[in-house]
Amino acid sequence: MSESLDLLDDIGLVLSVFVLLFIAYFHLRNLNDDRTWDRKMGAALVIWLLLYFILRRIQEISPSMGIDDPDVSSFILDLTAYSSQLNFYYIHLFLMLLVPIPFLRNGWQIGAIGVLVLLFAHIDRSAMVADADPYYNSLLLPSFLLLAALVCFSVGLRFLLFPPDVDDDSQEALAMRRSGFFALGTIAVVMDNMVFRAVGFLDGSGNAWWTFPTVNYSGASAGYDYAMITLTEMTIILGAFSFLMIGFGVGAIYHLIKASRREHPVSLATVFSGYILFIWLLILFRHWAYVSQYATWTMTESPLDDNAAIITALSDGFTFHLIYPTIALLHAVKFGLITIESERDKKILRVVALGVMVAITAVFTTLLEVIIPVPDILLAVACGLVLATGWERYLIDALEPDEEMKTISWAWPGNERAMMIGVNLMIGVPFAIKLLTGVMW
Amino acid sequence: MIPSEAELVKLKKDELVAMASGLELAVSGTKQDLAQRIIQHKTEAYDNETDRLEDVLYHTPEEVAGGNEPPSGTAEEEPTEGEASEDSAEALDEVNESETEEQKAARDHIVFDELPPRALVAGGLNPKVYLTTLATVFLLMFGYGFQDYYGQHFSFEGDDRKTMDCVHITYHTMGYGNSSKYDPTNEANIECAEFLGVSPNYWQEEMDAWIASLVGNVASDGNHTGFVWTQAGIDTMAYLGASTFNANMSVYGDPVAGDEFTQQHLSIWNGFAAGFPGGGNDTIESLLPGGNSPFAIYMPAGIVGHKPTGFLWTQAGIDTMTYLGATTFNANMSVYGDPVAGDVFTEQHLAVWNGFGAMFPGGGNDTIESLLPGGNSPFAIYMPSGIVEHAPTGYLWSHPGVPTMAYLGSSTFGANMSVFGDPAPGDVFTADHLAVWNGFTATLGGGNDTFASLLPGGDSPFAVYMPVGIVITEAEWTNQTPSVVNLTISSSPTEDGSGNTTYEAVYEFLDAQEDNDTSTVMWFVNGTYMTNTSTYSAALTNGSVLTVRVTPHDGLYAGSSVEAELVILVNES
Repeated sequence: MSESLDLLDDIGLVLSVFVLLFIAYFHLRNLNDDRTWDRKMGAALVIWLLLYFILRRIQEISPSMGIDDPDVSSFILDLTAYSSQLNFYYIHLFLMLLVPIPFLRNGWQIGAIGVLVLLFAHIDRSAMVADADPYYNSLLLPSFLLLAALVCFSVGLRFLLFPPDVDDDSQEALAMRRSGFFALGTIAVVMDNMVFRAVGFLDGSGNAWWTFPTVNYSGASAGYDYAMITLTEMTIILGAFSFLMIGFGVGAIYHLIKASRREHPVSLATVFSGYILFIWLLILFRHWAYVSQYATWTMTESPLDDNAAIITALSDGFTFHLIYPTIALLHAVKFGLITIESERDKKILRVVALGVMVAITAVFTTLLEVIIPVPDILLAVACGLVLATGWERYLIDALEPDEEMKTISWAWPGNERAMMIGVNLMIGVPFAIKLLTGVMW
Repeated sequence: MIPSEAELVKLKKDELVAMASGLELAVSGTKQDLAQRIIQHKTEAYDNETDRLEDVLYHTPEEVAGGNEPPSGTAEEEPTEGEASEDSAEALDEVNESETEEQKAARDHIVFDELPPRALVAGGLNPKVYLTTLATVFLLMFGYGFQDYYGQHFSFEGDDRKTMDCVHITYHTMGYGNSSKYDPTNEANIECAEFLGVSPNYWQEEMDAWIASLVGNVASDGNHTGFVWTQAGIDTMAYLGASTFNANMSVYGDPVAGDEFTQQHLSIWNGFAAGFPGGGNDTIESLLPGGNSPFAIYMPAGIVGHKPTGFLWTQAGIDTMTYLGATTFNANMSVYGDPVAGDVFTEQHLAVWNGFGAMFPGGGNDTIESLLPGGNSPFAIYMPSGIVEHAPTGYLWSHPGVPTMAYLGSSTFGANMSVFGDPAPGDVFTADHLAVWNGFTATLGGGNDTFASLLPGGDSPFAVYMPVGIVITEAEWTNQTPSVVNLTISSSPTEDGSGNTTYEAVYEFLDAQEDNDTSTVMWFVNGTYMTNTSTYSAALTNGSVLTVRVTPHDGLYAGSSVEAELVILVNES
């Protein structure tokens, strides 16, 4: 069974590479085209995110891509670890706070975020090295990220609950729509598997409070004060995930009811609502499996039995391998981050849509084969029939951006070129270091 | 004069940016965006001036359009006076059909100069209410989660802080034997242990009890103590009996060296010793060399020894076990009695090891053999050099012995060499090996061979089938093994004109049998292997360290490797 589930890694990797090549081609083919700064920056951030996913997958699938030389110096190990953290946190923070309507509105604010991330990374790492004194579980960086996510969340939830009227073309309405749509897409694409701890936070179960990284060993290792620090940070992280998912769950139901009464427009928010409710089903099922001991995991979330392996594949695997790259594609096309105009462009998009459909089919069939022993031939026939009906058209239609998403922007209050170069360097340099050290050692 | 778009687009972007900046316009976007923005600005200025003049001249007040700040970068999307902003969508459609697609696309972009307030983006039209509600709900959830966890894990009777800090000190640092800060007698630990109601030395006490239970399980298996009389012990005891206790060795059943030292022997000993101050409470361990018996001063060589198991600790084994203990099993070598290389690896040691191993999947069932190099312990991967070695018997497998035994096994006994653990020439021929041999031959009228019977010309009934024997004495092995002495490196310029220097290993080859020298010569530069030829030619740089390693070999026996080193000093001039 594990061989089948391992296939998900390969499928996810291929899909991510496929989507990356597509977005990168359209973004890089003419960097001086007429896209506004937010579209170029958004496209670049999505590309960096996919590169992060891909490198992470490669390092898991093929450990030789990561540092596995026991003799490599501690400086290189530290450098790579810092680079990895900076790469991850910068991508996520800038996706949530910089585009399309920036919360960070000056170069110094971006710089300050950069310094804070570096400082928090240093504090976290210093607290958790083997000979640290005091040795405690410092979670400053993830806490900081989650506080930023709350900002993005408030934008998305506001849009689910109070969308501006579709006919309202005022600047306020345009701003609320664009930022709201983008926030929903961003939340979906950066959502971590810790959303599956949303219920555990409330009932105090071990899948939230005793699963790494949110494990409070600081009391034992460093005493009361440090236990309180860790508890505060853990509570911010778990509380934010729980708050975020409950908020979106309520918002999704509210939006769907309103949409059914034609009081809210049917839009990307409706798709997002459906996705959130689907994730909630997975959250409830996984939580039930944990507390009922139908499935068991280690403290690092490694499955300990077959049931846990399947549920992990259904939840983590499904979202990580299929949803994230697909939404990254949606994010890039739907919000006009890349421009699809000519007939040739549309043909390429169709090929990519077909590729995504194939990947979706492959993931579903892989999971189905594990859960229900369906003969391959039946699955092949079913999938062939589905694909033959031209379902990729629905995906292409879903990807088609609204006119408003392609034409409305807000100017960056400063030198946009310097800002874009700076942000790309902040993300790219750590990525390059991580990649190079992984290849060299 | 208002410039045309074509004129402006011909300018460099920097010039356009400077121009836009001078007019206090946004400087983002393409050249076309900038050009259109500048034209729009100048047109507006022109219109405003016209309006102002009209107003001055004709006093005809105009309606002033309110609402949003106009976006820049477009022509037609500008809501002009009297038009509401909602008309802009309609206005977007009114593009000049004669324009190119590119111009159309550029003109379709609406870039607002001023960013909307953050509160509007995050909170919509009623940000105070919305954001306050969100913040309140989050803080309530935070408070609930914090107090729920705190109540379950950090709430104690009395002072929470004091309890947590004492748990940290006593159970995880000063009172915890595996902590680098272990200091059970520290005042802070003693105070905290008292506060928590445990012994300050609880860790050592628990560890001692656990080890005792592991060892006890082995010792209680039958009546075997795991200890034997040593010759020195018998001599000492005979002396003490005659001089002090007024008894001879018959009270112990006249043991000989190697006989088991039983619990009865211990009782007798303690019975004698009880008549003296501090005596009467010895354990068998206290009678080992260096033991803590009150009479230890009278028996410096001890009385007992560990019962031989045929296996000894190796240095690599001690190092490995020390590492595993520190990193995995949370124990130091005191649980094995702090052995040194060559000490007997006892059944008790095995029991302790299996006690540790049982904590991990597949562990807890090792035999001593499985701890040999290449053994089948589930932990073998962590101890590639093994932990134990065969105790010497004075006999080794000989070069002809291995293939002879392999032949006899396959042709006569129906067995391969795995029954002997697949030995190589030079390996110890153990008592177990002899037992296996005798087991085979017992069915053919043999079965009573000694080690010496298996030497060349030995008295084994099967000697005719093994004319060169199977074993060799350790002394003979040493005699047969060549050695290398006085190793140096000589150097001379290479004669091929290349400018290289040729280095040669110069040494004396010693072999009692005067066999040919087939030694291996290996060359290293700065620790990096270069070649295994008898000489080495190179142009080495100043400060290079050239090393040669010679492994003596006479065609059959390989001796210990010898190394010589040469630091290269090149005349810089």
